Amino acid sequence: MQTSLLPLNYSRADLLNRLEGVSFRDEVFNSLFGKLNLGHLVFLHGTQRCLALSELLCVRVQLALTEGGLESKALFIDGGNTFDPCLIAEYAEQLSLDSDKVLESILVSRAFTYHQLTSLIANNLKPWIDRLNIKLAVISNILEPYSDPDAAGKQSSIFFKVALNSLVNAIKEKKIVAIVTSLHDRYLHKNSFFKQIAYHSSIIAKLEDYGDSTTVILEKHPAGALTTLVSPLGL
Amino acid sequence: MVIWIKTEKGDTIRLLDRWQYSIYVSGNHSDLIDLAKQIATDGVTLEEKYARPEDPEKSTVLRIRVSNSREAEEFAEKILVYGGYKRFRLYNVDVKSSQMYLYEKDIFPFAFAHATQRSDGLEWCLLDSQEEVEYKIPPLKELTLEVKAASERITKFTDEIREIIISLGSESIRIDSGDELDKLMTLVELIQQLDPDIIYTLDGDEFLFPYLARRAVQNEFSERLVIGRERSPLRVSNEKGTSYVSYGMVHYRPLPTRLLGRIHIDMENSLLYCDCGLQGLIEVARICRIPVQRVSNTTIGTSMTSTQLYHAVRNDILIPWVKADPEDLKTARELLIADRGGFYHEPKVGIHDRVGELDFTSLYPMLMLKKNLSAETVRCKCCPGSAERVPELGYNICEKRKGIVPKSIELLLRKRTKYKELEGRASDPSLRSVYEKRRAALKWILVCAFGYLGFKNARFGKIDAHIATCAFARQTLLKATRLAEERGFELVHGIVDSLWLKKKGATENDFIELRDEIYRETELPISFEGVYRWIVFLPSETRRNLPVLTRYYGMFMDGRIKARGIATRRHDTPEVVRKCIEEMLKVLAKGEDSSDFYNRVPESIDILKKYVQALKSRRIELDDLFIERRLSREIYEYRHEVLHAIAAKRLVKEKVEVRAGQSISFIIINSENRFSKNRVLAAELVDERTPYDVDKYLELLFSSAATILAPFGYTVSDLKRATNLL
Repeated sequence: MQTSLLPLNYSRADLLNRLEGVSFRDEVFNSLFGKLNLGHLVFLHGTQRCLALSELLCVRVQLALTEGGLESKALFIDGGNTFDPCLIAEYAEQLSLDSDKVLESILVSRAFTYHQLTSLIANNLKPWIDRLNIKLAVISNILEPYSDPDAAGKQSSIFFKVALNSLVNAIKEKKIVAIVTSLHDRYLHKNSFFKQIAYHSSIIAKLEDYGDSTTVILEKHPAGALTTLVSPLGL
Repeated sequence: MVIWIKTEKGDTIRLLDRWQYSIYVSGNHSDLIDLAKQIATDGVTLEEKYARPEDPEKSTVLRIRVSNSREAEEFAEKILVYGGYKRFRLYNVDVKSSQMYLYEKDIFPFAFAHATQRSDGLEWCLLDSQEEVEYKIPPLKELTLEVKAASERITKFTDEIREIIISLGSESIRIDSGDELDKLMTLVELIQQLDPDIIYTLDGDEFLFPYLARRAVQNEFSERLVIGRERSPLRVSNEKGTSYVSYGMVHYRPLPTRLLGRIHIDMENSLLYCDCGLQGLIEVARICRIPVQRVSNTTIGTSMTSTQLYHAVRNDILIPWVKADPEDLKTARELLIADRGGFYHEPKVGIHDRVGELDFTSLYPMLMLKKNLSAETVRCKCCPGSAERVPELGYNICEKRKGIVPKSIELLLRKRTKYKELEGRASDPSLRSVYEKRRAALKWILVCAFGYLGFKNARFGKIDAHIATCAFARQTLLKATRLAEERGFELVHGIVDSLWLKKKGATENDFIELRDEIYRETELPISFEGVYRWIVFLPSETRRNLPVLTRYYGMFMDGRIKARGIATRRHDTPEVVRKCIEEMLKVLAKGEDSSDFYNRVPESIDILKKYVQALKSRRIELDDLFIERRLSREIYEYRHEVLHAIAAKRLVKEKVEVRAGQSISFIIINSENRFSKNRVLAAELVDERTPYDVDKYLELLFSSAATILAPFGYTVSDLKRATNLL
């Protein structure tokens, strides 16, 4: 496990001033994640900042290849109703991008039940990737609908498997980067859903807040050169 | 299906109808045939139905008859497994049998009807209409049941029954002689003899009936503890009640006790009964086609949904078991424009003279009805070129058919208006009260109708329809504001469906003329609430320069005081604080205008002084010191020692079951005590020797007083100085 204290502040104020050049080719990021390759499933969990980071990547993916982007639109499937278009607009302005154009290039669909989220991932994800030429898909707060107390335990587990298999399949087949996020939960590591995502993820990072800075704990990475890969999950 | 009838003479009749519950399955035609072969029973047929409300035409689905809704869910689960969770979609699975019977037979509870027993079941002839506002309720025998246990303080299921009290009107029957078994036997005999239609209890679901059932087990009487009309004894259930979240608040609902053939109303746990009485329950049962028993112990949303389910069934639209259709894909820019909620205009903090208030009546339901806003009509596939568009967003609205949601609220809106008219005309106070209660019940259902458009589990809700309703509402308020401004009015404050306006020299008539013009232009009913002599808009407690949209108080010209968001309106305000603030407001209300108001402030501070002295000299009754707060999570989930959690933990130690969503009433005895358990005491443990924390109650008093006087520069410290406490 490699731990790095980063001067990250994904709060709405002056995020990019504090974290200059966070991108797929950012030096600090490279030291931890390396390049987020097409075909990678990246799992970010922890504080609200993993949601903010996923939204930031939705902006940066639109940049030119030479600037660390993928010249692509982003797809944001929201399982927790947390997507914040105002934050996106702020990121765009801080990167001197036209915020309207950036907002137009992020496609959002919110799921309020696990059936909806499963349907979005299993039925809509691939057609949308093809139709919109998507290179980055975010599945935000993926565990929330499946862990809803209203959700029947047995059924939600089955539907979660259907969704996850569809997602993994789409990532491999369509060669996209997928970011999956989940907010911190005391019992997260014991959660069977968490274990299943972790198994399929190329990169797992936990974000924790310490005052104004954020600690990123890299829990899993495919490149041994970057991490010692002593996974706390025993994967 | 068992149906209980009250005849015109008041007799009670039990009817049995050979009716069967049906579930439906959609999927690929060959898959359906395969499934039908697998099931291989007589109760399976292929039928034509709308699988989704937005479908342009019916499709072939499989109908499977089952014995009841419980069996339906088990069967549906098996079908899902058989289809690998992909091949089949299931419908009409989890609707209560009693409701489905009412929908299919097109009857409603408390309807005046004629029933004929035929060889193939009951035939109903309805002699009544849901439209009716002057309907008669058959004579009902009502009684109240109370059970007292041997212990004085916290009652446990292991305590013996001390006394059972049955109250019929002004008469009471006390069962207090003999041993516990004798008391239980007498209770059963009396219930059978009195044969009530309705049994009222206080906390019957959570305590009284479970307690009786356990005492019956203890006395080997459980097979004979029959309280209902059916020969089915009350059972001890190990099931727990449920905690659920509604509008961000955690609530608790105990497991309901049903007395077959009678109605049980738990007065402590029936929100609708508390607000609207039996008249309200019956009105909702009639209009939503849901048994009174269920109306009394379920959420208002469940009753509202029932009207939608009825319209779906009557229009051959299947009711999805689960909501799987997600939100339509949007760009982030579209979402930024779309997801903005209602209209608001921040008020300027401070006192304002001669402000008039205009409120749209049932604005959101009216818009849903008039604009045809429903899950299947907003962004429908059949009318992409529709002329009906959602403002700001341009979403098309169906022109070809009326949505389930508008259909289901049409009658509610019409009847609410009728009851309002009747209430205004009624000279008999008891009749006026009947109309008022029925109208209030309908209002609850209508309030809920909008929220359910965006509710995750609403069968016929969709976030786009919710967004569209908000967009129309914002447009309406903006239009009304423009009309007001053209007439020289200034918008002082606006929120969701209400406007506060002023104009120099404006008379009540000017406001009425404005109201009429807004009504003409928007075609939406709007009422003139009156002109305030003065109204005070209050700031945030933490940021004194920022207004709070829903925190104000004011006095109308006719002397009525209206207050929102202050201590007198909060549920967790102890009576001592509530009384003090109410008295202070009464003093301030004597002010004719803002300058006169200022002159009254010192007099209002005198009231505060009086309460401060009473608290300091411990002259306040303990009953006036209770604070009631709801547990927002289970006890073990609290990480901080908040006062109500401490009180609840103490109750748990006393073997009282406490769940998230339940309210805890307590007294602060010593808020600074180093041991948290000594800081507060739950109401159940309080006695006349219980001390109270004077300083803490003073703090609450000063804080509430400072809130209402904040715009005039008063802080807690100022008030402490003014009352000689500093």
